[in-house]
Amino acid sequence: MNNLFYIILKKDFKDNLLSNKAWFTISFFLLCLIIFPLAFGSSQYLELNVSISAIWISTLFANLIALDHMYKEDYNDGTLLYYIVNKVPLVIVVYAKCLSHWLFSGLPIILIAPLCSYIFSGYNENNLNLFISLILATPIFTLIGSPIAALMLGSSLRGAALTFITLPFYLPIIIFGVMGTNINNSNINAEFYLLLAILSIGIIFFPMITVKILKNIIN
Amino acid sequence: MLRKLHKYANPNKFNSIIMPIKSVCLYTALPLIAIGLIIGLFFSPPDYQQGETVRIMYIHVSSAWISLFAYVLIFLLSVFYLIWKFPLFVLMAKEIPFVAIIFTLITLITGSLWGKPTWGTYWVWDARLTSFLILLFIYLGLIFIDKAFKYNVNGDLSFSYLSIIGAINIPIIKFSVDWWNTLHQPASVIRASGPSINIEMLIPLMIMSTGALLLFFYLIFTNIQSAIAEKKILFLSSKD
Amino acid sequence: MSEFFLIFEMNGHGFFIWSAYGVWFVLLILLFLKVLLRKKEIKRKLKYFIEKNDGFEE
Repeated sequence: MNNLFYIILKKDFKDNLLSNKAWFTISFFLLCLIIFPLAFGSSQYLELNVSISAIWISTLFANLIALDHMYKEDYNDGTLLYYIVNKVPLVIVVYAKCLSHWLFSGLPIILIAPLCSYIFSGYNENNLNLFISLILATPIFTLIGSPIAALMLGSSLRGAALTFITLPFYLPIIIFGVMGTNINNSNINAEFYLLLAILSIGIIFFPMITVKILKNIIN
Repeated sequence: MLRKLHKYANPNKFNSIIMPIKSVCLYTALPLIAIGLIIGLFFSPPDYQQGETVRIMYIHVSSAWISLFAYVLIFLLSVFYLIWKFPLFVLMAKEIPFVAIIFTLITLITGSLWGKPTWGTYWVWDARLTSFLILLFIYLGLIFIDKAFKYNVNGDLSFSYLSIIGAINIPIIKFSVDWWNTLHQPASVIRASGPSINIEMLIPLMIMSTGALLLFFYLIFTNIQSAIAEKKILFLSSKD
Repeated sequence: MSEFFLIFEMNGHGFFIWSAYGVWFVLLILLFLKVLLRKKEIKRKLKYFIEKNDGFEE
């Protein structure tokens, strides 16, 4: 079973790298981030909360852009049908896809965001908070997005519909994430514990739902 | 008991049951709402803190209860559909979001009009108001996914799963005033130690809520009849 | 007359109270009309299709 996980993960890696989807996500993040200072006109540092919100909004959009392709190509190919017919445990497929989605849309953002925050606002002290809240929040984004990406299989809509439907579920995570990034009281980090709790429950719960949805939709 | 209820899953039979219930609902709802309005506007006491603006409570709280009740109804019907696979359940569930959105809008707008004289602001990003706004967006998403799958049978499944995922929002709305420091006032009717509201305000509130609930059921039943007739039209038009 | 003015003003908060009740009323009336109009249109369509099928409903 472990072997299977790595095989599917490698297959997804190759798909993403070869079709340039990986670079698409990270460059969308950077482009979206660059628009904010341009839209403000002046060439000084942005305010702190503006730069934090710019980073979070760009993370959101980068995540949503990549979410569309999570299951669509395998569904159109017939690969998912192949998995079900050959009794491959779908849980592994779902975990592998979530991991590869996060590795290409969450991890680069986590590595670049503190640097971007310093470039925009010239403010250094909340970099650790930003890093930790992004590390906790981006996997949750992927996990929440995966059942909703599975729901939209077989519909005739493009990516904007997925964005619209997923957004209400991302809003609480963003609220907690931004609250955790501001360094009000550095001893009581309640938001991090809340995000960690959601992540731990979500890691088990959302892939289960996705497997159920995929099985029902493909049959 | 389930064996006896099986025959009501036939849409035609369900239609014939709904029709008398529907008119009873309407003719009870309208007088109740009228009575509730009159008592609420003219015969109930003004609050000692908020003055006369407490009269907005009668339409704000009743609409909020209806919105939450509507989502719980959608959630239960979706679960029943996934377990028993009667298409009637998801047909009923798909008719609810449109009506519930109007009640949610009423709650949000009357709430902000109530907030301006009492708190000094039309809107604040605290837990209860934000989660109610999220409820509005979840309803919009449900309508959207209903319309998206017009040419595909998978729409029923997608609708039910989306409503189950969104049900996490309901406990957040209910307990948000306990869990966080919010500007919105904490629960005063549905609490573990009984209602803490004056009885003279509780009575018009209950009358309004019951009237609004019956009105809600009337609108849902009419929509369900229209939906069953639409399915019949689809069937008849595809026969040629 | 002064009673009517009392009700209309409601101790200074008259604008908010009456506009809230107005919004409630208008939105409910719009919902009512939309539901009834949809029912009427579908009844019309159903009658047409049943006639086209020579009165055979099943």
